[in-house]
Amino acid sequence: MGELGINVTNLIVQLVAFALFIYLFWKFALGPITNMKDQREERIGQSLDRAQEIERELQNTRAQNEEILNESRREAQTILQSARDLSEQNIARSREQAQVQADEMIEKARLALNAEVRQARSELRQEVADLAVLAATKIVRANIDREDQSRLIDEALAEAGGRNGSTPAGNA
Amino acid sequence: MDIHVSIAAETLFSIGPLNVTNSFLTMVIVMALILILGAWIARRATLKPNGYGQFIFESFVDFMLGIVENTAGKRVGRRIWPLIGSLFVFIILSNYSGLLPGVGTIYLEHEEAEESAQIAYVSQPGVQGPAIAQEDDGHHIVEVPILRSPSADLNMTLAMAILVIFIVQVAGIMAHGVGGRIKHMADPWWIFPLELIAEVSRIVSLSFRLFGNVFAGEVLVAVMIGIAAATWFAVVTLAVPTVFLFLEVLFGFVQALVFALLTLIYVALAVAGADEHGNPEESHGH
Repeated sequence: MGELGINVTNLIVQLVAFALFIYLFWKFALGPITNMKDQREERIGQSLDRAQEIERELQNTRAQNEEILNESRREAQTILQSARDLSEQNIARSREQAQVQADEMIEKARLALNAEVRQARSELRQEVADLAVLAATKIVRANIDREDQSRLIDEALAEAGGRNGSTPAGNA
Repeated sequence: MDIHVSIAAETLFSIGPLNVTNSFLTMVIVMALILILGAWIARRATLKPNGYGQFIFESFVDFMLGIVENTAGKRVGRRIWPLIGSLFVFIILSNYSGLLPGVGTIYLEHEEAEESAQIAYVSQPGVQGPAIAQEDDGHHIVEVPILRSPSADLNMTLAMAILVIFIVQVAGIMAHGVGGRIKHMADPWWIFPLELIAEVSRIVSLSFRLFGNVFAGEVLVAVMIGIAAATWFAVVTLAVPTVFLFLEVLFGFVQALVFALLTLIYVALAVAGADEHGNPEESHGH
């Protein structure tokens, strides 16, 4: 044993020293680094889990957004169609109202025209009567009796009526 | 140039019954350096690595812890990890300490009662080496290297091997109980003596393997340096020892790994089958 250098005291001291070294190395160096490595692995694991969760949430959100977008498109389409229908209805109603108003105006214009025609015819008749009276007066001045005067007046009126008989005013 | 080779670590001075040898001194220095550097790195370490020290330390932890957990399982591996990690770091740095300039080449005068076991002297006239001067009273003065690799001291390797085998037994008893451990070793009963011999032989094989490899490597490098110096040939002087130093770097790593892995395997074998005796967690592959 001596030739190999084995010394029991040294052996025991070195054994104890090495055991102490293991304890101290674990407590102050290897242990903290191993724990830190474990913590990092755990943190990385959590981060990866979180990333996957975020990815899933993102996909869900994308799907929801797509759904909302499609819904919005459908609603916009519906609103647009409603607006178009309403617009067409308004146009139709306006056209109808315009037609009614135009008809009313035409009717009024026609009534006014008829009134004017009647008045003109009346005035014409009055003028013709006046002319007849004037003619009669002149005739009377030319010595005709009363009966002749009346006959002449009637004839004159008849002639006047015969000249104007082709016009609608002649029926009034 | 004289090459002084001694199997036993040389005593520098004594404290009572304790001989403070050059390998003992180197052991203390290596342990102190590992502890100071390791604690410094661990203290500065952050979750986001912030330096080469932390990067190297964590790379080592990743490398070794992966091997340990894959071999012994996560639960047993984690329990044995402090031992395996410390063994590996200490042995590899001890092995490499022998390759540092100054280790084995700086001498101290020491008085010895009788000549220590010496294997060889390679002498070259005109080159000063460790001198031995015979005194009148039978004592002689020798020049011994101040530093020597702890792995090149059988006391150190034997101490580590004894500690390892003790822990293996404790692990086996914790896994199976005392009766279970004995039954584990005596199945069939007549194999028990062989198992006992095997357990003891593990101490011898672990300690002598490491000691032999490291000591032989140091002797080899010393001889190569001696031969290269004796040739007075500059290129050979530089190239030959360098090649062997590189080889020693490789062997130092391999021997540290072998010691750590054998320890791991011994522990794994000692606790093997414990899953069936009340460790359902391990049996589910955790």
